[in-house]
Amino acid sequence: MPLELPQNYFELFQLACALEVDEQQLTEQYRALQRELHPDRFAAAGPQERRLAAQAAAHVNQAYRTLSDRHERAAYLLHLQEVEMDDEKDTSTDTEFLMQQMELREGLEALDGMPAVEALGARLEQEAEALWEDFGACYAGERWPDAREALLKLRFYRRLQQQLQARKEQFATE
Amino acid sequence: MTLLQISEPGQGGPRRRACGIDLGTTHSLVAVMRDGQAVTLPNAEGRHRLPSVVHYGAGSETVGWSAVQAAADDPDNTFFSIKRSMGRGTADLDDAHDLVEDSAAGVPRFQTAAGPKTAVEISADILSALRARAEEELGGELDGAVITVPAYFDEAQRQATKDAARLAGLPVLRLINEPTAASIAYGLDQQDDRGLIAVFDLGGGTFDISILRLSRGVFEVLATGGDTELGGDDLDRILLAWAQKECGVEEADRAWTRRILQAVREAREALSEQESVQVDCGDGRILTLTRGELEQWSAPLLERMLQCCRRALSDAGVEAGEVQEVVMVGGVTRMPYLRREVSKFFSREVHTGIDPDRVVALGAAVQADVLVGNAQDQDLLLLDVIPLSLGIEIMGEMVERIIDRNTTIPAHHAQEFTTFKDGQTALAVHVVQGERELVSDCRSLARFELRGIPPMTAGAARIRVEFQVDADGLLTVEAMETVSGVRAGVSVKPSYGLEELEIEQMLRESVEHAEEDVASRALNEQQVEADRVMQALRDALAADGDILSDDAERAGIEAAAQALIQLRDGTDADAIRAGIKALEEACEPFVERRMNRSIRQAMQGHRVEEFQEQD
Repeated sequence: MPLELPQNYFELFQLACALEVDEQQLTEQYRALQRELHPDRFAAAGPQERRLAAQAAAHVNQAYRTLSDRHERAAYLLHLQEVEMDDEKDTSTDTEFLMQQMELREGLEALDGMPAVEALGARLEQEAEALWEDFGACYAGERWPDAREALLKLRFYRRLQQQLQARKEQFATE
Repeated sequence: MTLLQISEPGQGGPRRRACGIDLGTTHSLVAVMRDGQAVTLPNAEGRHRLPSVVHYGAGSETVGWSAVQAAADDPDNTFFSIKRSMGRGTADLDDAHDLVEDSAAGVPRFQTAAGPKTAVEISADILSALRARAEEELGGELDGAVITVPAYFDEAQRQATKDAARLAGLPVLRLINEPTAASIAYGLDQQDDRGLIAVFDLGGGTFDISILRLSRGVFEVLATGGDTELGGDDLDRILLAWAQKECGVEEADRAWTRRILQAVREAREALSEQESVQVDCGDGRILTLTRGELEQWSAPLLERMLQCCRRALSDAGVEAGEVQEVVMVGGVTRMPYLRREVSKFFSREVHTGIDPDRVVALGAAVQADVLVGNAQDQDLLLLDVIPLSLGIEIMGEMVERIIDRNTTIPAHHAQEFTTFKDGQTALAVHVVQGERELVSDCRSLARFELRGIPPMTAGAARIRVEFQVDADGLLTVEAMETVSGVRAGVSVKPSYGLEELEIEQMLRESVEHAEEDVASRALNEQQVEADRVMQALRDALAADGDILSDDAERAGIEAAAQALIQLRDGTDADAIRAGIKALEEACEPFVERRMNRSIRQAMQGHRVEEFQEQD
């Protein structure tokens, strides 16, 4: 790209390269960038400018989407360290953890009402937070394989939390 | 040279002519800015809504109210709700009209007294009528138009709409989503801390729900949902079935069906004001319909709408209770029942202050005015999303998603694939849109083949498939093999879209231009384009002429511009096209530098004036 747009997403939003970000700064910088670069700003311009604007705006959108989500942000931090994750293929190899996940999944299917939903929700939240702390420590200590393992485990929690949300909506509409 | 010495951008120049068009299933409207206010334009009889109905007689066509009149005597040549057929294949259509053979790309053609017509051509006739209304008001040819589409319209439906605009000779600045347009018209961004808003848009044929976050002029769509086959028409069909049963009509012909549909629609609208209404079914049959009955039959449709609302809220990551404003759009939302139930769902009063029939066209006119360059001081920016996920077919008829629904546009994403057989030299790419995992449950958008992959062992090739969605929500896909560096040619063929050649053919055949010389039309198109490019260049130089690197660059641009000005007044369309290209090439480094200045400004959060010292 001939554009002088920072390729590093954190740099683009003028944020420190870290797991926790200043969300207000992220959103405000996002809007500031789009105010200048969105193709609508170039609707009456020539085709070259419109094409460049579309490129730039797509890059800003992709960066914003990545940094807005904690999971995506963590994966991006690892990507900057050249540690890659493949959502489809990679999974945790910790058998004890996998057993525990199966138990949680069974618990999810056996839910019988709102109080049980809330209780499981609280448990998932607590265990996920512990893993996030784990990720943070590994990342700070530059123990990349361990950080990656923590993030892979967190993906299980994210999926469980999404399924729990769906069950919650079911109970709410019944 | 006088060419480049011009006024400040956005000042002194004449106002450019722009309009907003709401191309609806049952009715369409056109709006323009008048004295800083958006207004919809009426016809000679003072009616603002143009029925989206076209009648084709032998060698003549009528659009709107007169077409509605013609429908009773000639239903086979009269087209209602054509929007439902946009971007659709034969299998998706009902049997209200006879079809001629499919075109090459599978676009259905309807049999009419004026020859076979596609949905795109029929829509173009509606757009032409609206264009004429806007041009009469504004006193000349349009410089730009914004056309609204349902937020939930897929790629094929958007492309079909854009093709229709092109056939109608409309210079489209942007397709924008109907709910977004409505929220602009309400001007909710003008007030501080409006936060989250929901737009509930029930039209004749489509339902949309959008969740937006507003902040000082920025309209950020968080999620959108809906159903392009759910609208007031569906209620009318339920009422039609009821009338048919009550009247004991076993086999309804098209004329009877058309007449009763009209009668029940009027009855449904009347029930917003009164508790019961008489429906005249002809032959002395008068039926009574109560508001209670209508509400009872509406309930299953309402449940489908609320289901869409729940999903959109969940996609946006917010709860119904967090929504601060609810805007109702579309004539059908006049039903007290809908207002009551939607209000209950969001636990707040709904906005109905602006005529729900006109609000979309009004918002489109505001946006058209901004995009055409008349309102540069206006801080209005729409950040919209794609409504449906985009993906490609992989082994086992499964879909691999490339871009998720509710991704902000413009969007770009690339994914790598590989070959699965030794020595494989071609790969078929099938692009689909939808949320389901099986290809057969999604909508097919396009198929193309990547050829010329050098023979390698299975899994060794690296095929990079790039998806780009532009600000209109339209997709382009490219594929290349990266190991060998071979970029194989790729052409995307829309599954239910018109081919470029077909569009050109239609342009030639269209009744409006039959008398006109094809060559003079091509010349005119290039002259308009040349003027556009020159105007854009003048604006760019006025704003950022200081970043021309040296006199040689300026001289190069001026020479190319002078050449284009001379060519423009000649009679050779191809020469003008070449002149435009030459000018663009001369400008390329300047254009890039200009874009980089915008980037620096955005990065530093400074205005232009603060910059100039440093440069």
